[in-house]
Amino acid sequence: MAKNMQNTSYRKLDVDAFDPEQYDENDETVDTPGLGPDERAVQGFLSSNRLEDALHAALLSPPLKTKDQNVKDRATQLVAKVLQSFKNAEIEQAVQKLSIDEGDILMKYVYKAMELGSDAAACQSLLGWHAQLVSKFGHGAIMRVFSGRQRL
Amino acid sequence: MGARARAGQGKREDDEGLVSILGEEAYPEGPLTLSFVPDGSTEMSSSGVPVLHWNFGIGPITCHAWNKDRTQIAVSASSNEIHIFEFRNGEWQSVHTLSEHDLPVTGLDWGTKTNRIVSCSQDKNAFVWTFDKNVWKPELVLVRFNRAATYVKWSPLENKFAVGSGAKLVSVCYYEQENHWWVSKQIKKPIRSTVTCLDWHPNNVLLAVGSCDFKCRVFSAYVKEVDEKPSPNPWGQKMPFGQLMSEYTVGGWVHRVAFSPSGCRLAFVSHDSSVSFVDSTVDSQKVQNLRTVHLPFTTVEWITENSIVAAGHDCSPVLFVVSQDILKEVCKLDVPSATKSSSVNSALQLFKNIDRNNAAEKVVVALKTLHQNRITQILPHSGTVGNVSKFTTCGTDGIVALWDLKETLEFCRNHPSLV
Repeated sequence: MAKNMQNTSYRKLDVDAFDPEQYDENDETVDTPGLGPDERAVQGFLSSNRLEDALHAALLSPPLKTKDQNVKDRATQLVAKVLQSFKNAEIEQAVQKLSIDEGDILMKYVYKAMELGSDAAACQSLLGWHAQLVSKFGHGAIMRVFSGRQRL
Repeated sequence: MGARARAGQGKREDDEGLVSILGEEAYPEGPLTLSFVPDGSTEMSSSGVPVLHWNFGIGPITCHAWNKDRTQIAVSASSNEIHIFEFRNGEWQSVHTLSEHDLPVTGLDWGTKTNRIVSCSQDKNAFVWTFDKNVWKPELVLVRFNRAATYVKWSPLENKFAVGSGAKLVSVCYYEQENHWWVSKQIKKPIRSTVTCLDWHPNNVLLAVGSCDFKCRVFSAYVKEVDEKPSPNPWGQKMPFGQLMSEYTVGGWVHRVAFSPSGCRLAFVSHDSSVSFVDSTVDSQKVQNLRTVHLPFTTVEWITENSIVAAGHDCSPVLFVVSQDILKEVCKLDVPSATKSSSVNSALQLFKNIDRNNAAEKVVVALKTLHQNRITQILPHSGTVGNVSKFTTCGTDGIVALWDLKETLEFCRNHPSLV
């Protein structure tokens, strides 16, 4: 047996890094000025208790393409706040009025909000939204969060 | 290994009903199906839809291919071997085992015009198998890959084939007469990740390629050594080799792509649970993306110029139609039977029982569908190009099922409450 069989350090080489045509999937996310939802409008709707208008406004222009994580987190917290303003009984009705685009975006926010972590009550509300979203948009909505490249 | 796959187990359908299902003369039946009638070995699927199916007993099936008269089937079972079964005396008998590959076989296609099989594998090789003196002889192809081969498909004229690879390229292979050798030309740009699937346009030149960079592309695979100059079509005018005709982006890696019978339309499925559709006669740059409620589809096939069947992780084929240029979902083709769907509530009851009895009872984990795991491939079985009457599916559960579209749809219509 050859002597250098013991030496396995070469296995730790990232061979793909030496490929001139190496493909970084993040290259495709263009760094656009982080937009995010219009916070003032959402707050306005919230204070006048127009919850569904607040939800639709919060789902506008999600900051999917920006590289600035702070913008994304801020948007997520805003959406989470809107979601928690709903009572449990109102969630189903609100979800039924969402378009599939809004549903997909909301699902991303729900997962991100869970990741950011918060108190038990907030999680309870997020799980309620998740259940309603799945009942309307099916497993497909979950798959699109998992497989999508544009993340929050 | 003497794998003698009997046609499924389970309850039998009464013979009269069976003959009326299979004796339909309007359909060009393969001898395979006819030989089933006297044997009577068909059965109801667990789901209540009458579907013939066989377990080959060789484990998860990654791909299958039929011979011309549908009497033989080649299957690859997540191993380096390709098994060819022949239907004799009412059961499948293993007649050949092709074991030239070293690693699991990933792609298989049976060229029915020339009776040649092409196979590709994770071992970076592809073989063309020809049947001579009762033996399948392999011929190595110079595909020039440094990564696994992932998918292979004969062109419609069967004078060339395309192999996809993890090396982010497609090899278009043809036979070089002077050297008696299969050689290849490669399409590299602008594919940026593993190629997962391919399909040929009926004109023998255009090639659709789906890949893990979330894109589906249409290329020209014109090889001047073997092809006649292609005439202009809705996908473009000029078609030199490797020309990118169009490119579509989706929200997940592409699992399977298929040209419609006329070649004017393209359908592909990706991991974001969507089915995408392009009509080149309307706009070859515009893609319709239909996001579904299902788990992702892994395979798609055109039934007619206006209808598509897709299947995948939901273990049931789903029918889609194009009406007025819009792609719409029709229904699942594997319908839960009445008895089972009424037992939905009893699942809760079952758990309550377990809880109450404090006993680890045997819980039924069987799915309500015929396939008990992901469907990996759909192939047309009988009918004509542009009007498929029956198709087959194979899956990770080791089953190959033969679906009669008319019969299945009728069943769905008669049991609307289950759909």
